[in-house]
Amino acid sequence: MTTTERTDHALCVKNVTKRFGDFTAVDRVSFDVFPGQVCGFIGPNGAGKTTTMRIASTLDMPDEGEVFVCGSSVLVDPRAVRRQLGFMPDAYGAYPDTTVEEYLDFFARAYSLRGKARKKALDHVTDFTGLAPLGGKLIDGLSKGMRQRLCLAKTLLHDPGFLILDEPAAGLDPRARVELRELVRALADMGKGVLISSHILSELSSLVDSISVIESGRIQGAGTVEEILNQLRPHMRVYLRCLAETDLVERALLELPGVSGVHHEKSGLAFDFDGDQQAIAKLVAKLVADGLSPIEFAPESVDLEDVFLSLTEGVVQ
Amino acid sequence: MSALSKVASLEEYLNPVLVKEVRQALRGKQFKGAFGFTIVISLIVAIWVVLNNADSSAWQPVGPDFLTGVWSCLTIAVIGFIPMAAFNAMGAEFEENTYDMLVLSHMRPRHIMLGKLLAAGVQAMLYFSVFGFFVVFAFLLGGVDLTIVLVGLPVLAIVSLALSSVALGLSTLARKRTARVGLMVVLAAALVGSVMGTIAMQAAATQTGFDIALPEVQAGLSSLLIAALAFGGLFFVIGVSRLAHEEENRSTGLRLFGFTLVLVGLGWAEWMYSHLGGLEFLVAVPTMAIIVATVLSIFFVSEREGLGRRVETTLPNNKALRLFLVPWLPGGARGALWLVGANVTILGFVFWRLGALGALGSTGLSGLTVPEALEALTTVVSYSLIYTLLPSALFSNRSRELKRSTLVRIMILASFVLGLLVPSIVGFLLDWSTLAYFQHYGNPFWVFIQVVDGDINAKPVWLFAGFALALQLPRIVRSVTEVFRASGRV
Repeated sequence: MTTTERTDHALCVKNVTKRFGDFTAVDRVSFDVFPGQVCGFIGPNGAGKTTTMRIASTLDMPDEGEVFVCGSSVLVDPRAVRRQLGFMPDAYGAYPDTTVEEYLDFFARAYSLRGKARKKALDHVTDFTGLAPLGGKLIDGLSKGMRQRLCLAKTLLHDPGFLILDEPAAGLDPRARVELRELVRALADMGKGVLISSHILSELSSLVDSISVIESGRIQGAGTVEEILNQLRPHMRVYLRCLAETDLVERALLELPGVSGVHHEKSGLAFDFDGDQQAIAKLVAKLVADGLSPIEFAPESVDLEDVFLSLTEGVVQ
Repeated sequence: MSALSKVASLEEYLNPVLVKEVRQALRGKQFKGAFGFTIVISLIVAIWVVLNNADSSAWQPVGPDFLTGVWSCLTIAVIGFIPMAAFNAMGAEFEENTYDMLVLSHMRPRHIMLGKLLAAGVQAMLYFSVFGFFVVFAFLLGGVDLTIVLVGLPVLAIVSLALSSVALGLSTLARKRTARVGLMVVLAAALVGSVMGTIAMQAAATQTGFDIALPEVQAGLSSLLIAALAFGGLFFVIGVSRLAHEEENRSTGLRLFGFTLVLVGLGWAEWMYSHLGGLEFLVAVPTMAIIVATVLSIFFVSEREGLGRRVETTLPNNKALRLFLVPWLPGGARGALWLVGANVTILGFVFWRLGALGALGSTGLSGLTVPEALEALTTVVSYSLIYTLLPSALFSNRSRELKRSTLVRIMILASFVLGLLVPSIVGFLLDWSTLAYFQHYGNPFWVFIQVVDGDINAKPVWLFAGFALALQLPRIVRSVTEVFRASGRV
């Protein structure tokens, strides 16, 4: 093993296992996050998300396996990992009797930023998170959304290459969630890898490039949403309604290549179709050419919640 | 760059925790309240002392009374309030969930501890600077010995820092609120005792005066300072160790400091002997050193056996260096080696110093002869090995469970208590009076006295210690082998 491996990865988790006594919290978990990519880490409560994130951020040690952050091993060189890592925990704290400016200044000093470098970093993160006008305000008086921004600003002070955000949207109002989403997307566009966990799957779906689904400490699926869908459902589910007789349409469909599982649904037909976009276009053209007059052709849309529900069984550890 | 801006630029290099803590303290209600309260009470006391003496028909210098009054207030502040505030400041890192964020920054545990300690020192300095005016006024009132002020203030400052360090170290021992409340009660009791003791000593010195040139006074002061630095230092290292991740090396720093304490103790014994005369220092202080080493080793020998994945990768590749490092590395059996090393060092020192006096020399300690002293110390070392090595060999922690370590510690303490009580209970049941009255080998105090008096043969204790050591040998061999087989630096 070397101290620097997988330098093309922002995060590389390899067969990580973590036990607490007889309880296995994380069981041979593996997944990757690449620079510029936002990876959604989703799973029910107690699935092992936070434990995995804490291991990746050097706060806990794996019993087995290995984790690399920007090429550095959490086992061998935790300090190098911490230089490259920004971790925003779900339960972060704020010091009482401290202003926004003092809080950020303290962490900038803690990250060994001195003089002009510290001022530049402070200006950058307060501008980026929109906290600049609130510098003199006590943290105790900040709203939840502003506190999340403050924690994100603290996380970004040392310009980490990889970010772990544990439930950053929890408790935020819709506007604050949209703003946070835009900030995270902007960070990924800067080339930073982001691992983000959230229970609000609708928020994640428009943000993530890939997902890792975990349940009972095991990864149930990992990859882009499309890849996972392809694994889960090799056939596309289509709803079709035509002006022609339904029985006539059914017979015609069964003769077409790639069509299977045809059955009646509402006032039309539903079927599985195995083919790409070109094949869909040909299918529709054939239906029109046969005079069946299709008036509704709707491939079933699948979102992150469907993926999540398909992959998990609601097991609570 | 002007001299002023050069000084200002040094602020960049201040410990971040120090900066943060001082900012917080100066804005927080706790410090403001305590500071204001102390000054108001001091003013009331000062005015009361002056007015009370103004009524006297015969004028006497009121400086000593005045100084005692304001000094008491200062003592309560710097020995009571500030260490308690330090305890709370460390606890707040755990309760406010800020500790993880500190760990992930570039701050190391020692920086965090040092920052908190320095912040306590700065707060103490604020109190001292205000009380400086009271002290000057006391001096102007007459009757105050300047030496007391010049010696007392630095001693008070050192004791305050030492107690703040103890409070910080204590605060790292428990992260759950309920356990913290228990520790806070213990600390509060210790602080109240320290405040009362310090006020009593200062009052006695102010009223009766003291001569710093006296060897006894120097010995007393040096003892106080060494004890303050030893306790403060020990809890500082404990705090640093506890702030480190459990997978990281939490043990080596403590082992090094523990061994340093032993060496300081031996050096202090030598200094006291050469300064005051009296060979009892060469017996009593090493005995204390054995007890300190034994208490520390309870934590070392109960550590789980594995080096840990993170520690393995820090080992040097040089095999000879690894062999030298074995007793200093984490692991229960390596802790046993540390204790053996510490005890051998202490015994070696005593044999070297007392042996030079010859077989018939007297130590001056109740007529104790050198051979009796050597036999007694060997017996103390034997009990040290029996109480720690036997239970840890029987209940060693090869699992990764921390509960197992607690079990070993409990068994070590239980072995002492059971060794003391069981023979006595048996003696009581069998109507065997000597056993019933704790006159047996399970009572180390009785054995020690008998050995000193030459009324008992200590060899059974030595043999039993050898047996305990023999039981440890397989563990020790495994622990040495593990160090040699570890992957090392990559």
